[in-house]
Amino acid sequence: MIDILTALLVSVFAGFIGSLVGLGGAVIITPVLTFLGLDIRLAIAASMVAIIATSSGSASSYVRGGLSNIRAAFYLEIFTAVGAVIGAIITSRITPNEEVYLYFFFAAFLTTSFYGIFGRRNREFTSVKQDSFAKWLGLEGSYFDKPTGKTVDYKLTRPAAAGPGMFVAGIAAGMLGIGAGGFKVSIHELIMGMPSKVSTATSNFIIGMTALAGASVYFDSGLLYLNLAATLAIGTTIGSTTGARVLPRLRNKTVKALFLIVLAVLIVQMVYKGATLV
Amino acid sequence: MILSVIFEASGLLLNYLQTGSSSLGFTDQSIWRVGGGNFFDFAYSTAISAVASVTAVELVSLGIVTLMFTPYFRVIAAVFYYSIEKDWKYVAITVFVFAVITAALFTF
Repeated sequence: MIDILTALLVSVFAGFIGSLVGLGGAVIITPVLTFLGLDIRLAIAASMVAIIATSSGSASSYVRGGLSNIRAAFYLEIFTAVGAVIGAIITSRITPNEEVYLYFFFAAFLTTSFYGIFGRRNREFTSVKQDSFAKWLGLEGSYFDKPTGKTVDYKLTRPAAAGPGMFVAGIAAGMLGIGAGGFKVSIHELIMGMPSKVSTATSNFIIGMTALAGASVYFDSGLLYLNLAATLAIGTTIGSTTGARVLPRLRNKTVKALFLIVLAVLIVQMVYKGATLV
Repeated sequence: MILSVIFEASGLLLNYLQTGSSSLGFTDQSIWRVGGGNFFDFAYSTAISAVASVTAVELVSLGIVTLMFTPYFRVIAAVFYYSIEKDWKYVAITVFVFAVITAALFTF
């Protein structure tokens, strides 16, 4: 049985690591809790609510700082929200026998996050040409980059391609009770040409709304336990606030290496769990 | 946006009430289980019963409800913002997002 302290510690840890790389932390919470014996669907339902907390916490400071691109966020949210509802419906209808698929799907998804972070590690920001759809949507912006003291202007492109990508991210988010941040920032940066910091900030903004859409499905499903959800919400908030303070002192490489290690462990664990169920 | 942080802090503070033992049991009869019905029903009934009696479950429920409303209000605020700016493309986009989320909250 899981007790409050364990859940709290796990979520603080997850929130901490997650905030360093731009994730909500649910990708860490769910595998660890299932490893400790919790039914995966319960972990998913509670995490879905908890990540609203991490999103709301960071979103306000990112918006005030001018880092989140609100237009892009809402445009992408069209797809993500619909995907999340569908994903959540799928998971809430899964019977205990079919849970195996959730484990493997989760492992596959963690692997994409792995590549998402791994691929980002050396990327430099270069500006892109806006396509006409992006121009029509007004997808561009600028932000003040503190470390360099410069204002960076950027334009986004290929929203038509990013949309379906975000739909898939949404389904994964709803199905797995996560924010799918790793996947989303890859789409932001590789397809749309977003600078890293804007990407993380925008992703955080989106996650809150997506999680809300998914969580509402779980409310009806009977899979949601508030004691767990509340504990996870508190833990991730503590973890991510601390992480945000520590982050400036860490080197980028350290952060990414740490995260890749954690991810690798989780992937192995999820595959193992799925395999033992088969 | 600043409000959302305040809301969240108060919501989480409300959350912090602990009862008896520290183990989290997950049975069908658990008082912590949300049994079904849509979120608006839940929010409403939580508000009503919280006024009546302040128990741990009520406080936690209240916290969760507050938490879930923060992104919701963000979307509503965006709809108003773009309306004032007369940016009709984005009014349409934000209204669509609002509709999807609201539909989900109502149906489930």
